[in-house]
Amino acid sequence: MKSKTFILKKIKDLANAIPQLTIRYEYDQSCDSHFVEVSPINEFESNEKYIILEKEISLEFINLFPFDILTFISEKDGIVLECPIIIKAKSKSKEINKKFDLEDIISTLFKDYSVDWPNTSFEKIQNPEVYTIADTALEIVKIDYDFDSMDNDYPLAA
Amino acid sequence: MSEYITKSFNNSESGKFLFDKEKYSSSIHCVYYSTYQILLYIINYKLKDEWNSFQDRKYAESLNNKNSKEESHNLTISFIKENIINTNEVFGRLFHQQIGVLKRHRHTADYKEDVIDFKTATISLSLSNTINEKLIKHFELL
Repeated sequence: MKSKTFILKKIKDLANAIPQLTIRYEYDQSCDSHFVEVSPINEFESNEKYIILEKEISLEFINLFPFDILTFISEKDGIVLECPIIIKAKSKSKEINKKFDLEDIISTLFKDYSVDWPNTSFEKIQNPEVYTIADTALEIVKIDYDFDSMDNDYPLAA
Repeated sequence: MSEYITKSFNNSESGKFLFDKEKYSSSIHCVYYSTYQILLYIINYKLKDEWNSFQDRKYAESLNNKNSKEESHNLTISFIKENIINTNEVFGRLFHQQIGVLKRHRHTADYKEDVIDFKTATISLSLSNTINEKLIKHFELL
């Protein structure tokens, strides 16, 4: 496994373990340095679970990639990440989606009726007040990183 | 006093002098090396056996790796990081964070087209001073 692949997997796990985190990652190829910016600052500075996980990742990284530098930073450190990869927990997007959950809307509209939900999804049609039952689930858009192809390590001087 | 430590103090002093003259990039270069020379002292005098063993092991592993790198500063920093994280968690975390930021600023100051401003130089001087003081205390260098 290459260093970028390792870090991306670890910070994805970190974001899922502590959903309130937003993580920005950038690799500076010119000095083999990886920067992981963690926010909000109070979580970075005092969330004990985060601090333990950060330590575990750091030690594992040193063991596997001692010729690279991994640095966890906060916004206060004054490092400008020019083109970072942004990673958030899955549960955050679930919370946002819940605001527009059609099952919730229809349950409210038909609160006096019993509705059997299993294997059923809903689609909004042109008239905003009318919903119809669809046979297939709505498509989920998912972005997959091709970790290995993102890793181009070039040997450089100090 | 070790020549590494003398050089480190001289570089720190030169960094402050250059900062006062508004030579910010050169100032960062000096204070980064001031810190790096303390690391050199530690690996040569305080943790020599551990360093030799770590270095041999990592270079051997690197030879088996098709993406091998030989960034000696990073290897030195990784070794010291691992040692401090395992002996003092609070300082370990601080060192881990601060040395990475300082190294990044030094790299920008020396190799990139970016203008180095007063703020970046101030941060770098402060980082170097803090790291140096804490390294000296942690490893009982003086």
